[in-house]
Amino acid sequence: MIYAGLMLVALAALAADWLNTPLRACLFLAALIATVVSFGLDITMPLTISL
Amino acid sequence: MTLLYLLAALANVWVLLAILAAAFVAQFSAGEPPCPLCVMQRIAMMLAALGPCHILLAGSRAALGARDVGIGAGMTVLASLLGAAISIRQILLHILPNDPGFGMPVMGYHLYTWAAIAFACMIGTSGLQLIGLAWFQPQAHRVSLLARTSCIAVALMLVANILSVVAEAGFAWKLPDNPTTYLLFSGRP
Repeated sequence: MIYAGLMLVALAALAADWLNTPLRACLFLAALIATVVSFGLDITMPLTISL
Repeated sequence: MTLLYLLAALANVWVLLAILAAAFVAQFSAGEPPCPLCVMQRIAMMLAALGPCHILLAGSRAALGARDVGIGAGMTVLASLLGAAISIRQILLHILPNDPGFGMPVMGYHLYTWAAIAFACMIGTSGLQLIGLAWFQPQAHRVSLLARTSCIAVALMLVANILSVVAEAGFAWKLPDNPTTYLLFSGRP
């Protein structure tokens, strides 16, 4: 569900063409940052559990 | 020069779509649902495709400007850096001798190795595009139909991946680390 949500934000960024460039950039950065956080959790969660 | 940028963006979008389609073919032909890292690489690849889509859409509205090329290339570089980090992590997870790796190899390399190569190529081509802005002269070209078709194809790829990941994860928040089935259809939590 998290990944589906990330891809929905990316889809919104693509569809933001009829509005303006800053909105697309914001949605793109939101999806990018959320993916970075998701990747960070993927790395750190097993470490936290093993500790 | 503008036409060259538009053609490069067009080629970039369709190469990324071909890679993502090949990943779907491998997923369904080998019966191997993608792992969380694989899904994140796909997301990074689709985010990287938004850069050339931005260039194409800007070029279809009016004469393509250096600002639009800069924004598009910047988006591609950022998404590719993230994708490269994810794919390199997956390569390192399977780097020990006698480790079979995750999934079926394609032409000798696993999909995450191909993804790392693709992300490195995208960073390189985006860098070249940014350097080329020194000689950039805005010029109008009619690429509206091609641009719209390419962006619709990227949107369809995003929708297909959303459906795939919902089928795989079911109603769980997170994907299993080593998925073997589609949880939405198997009925397991």
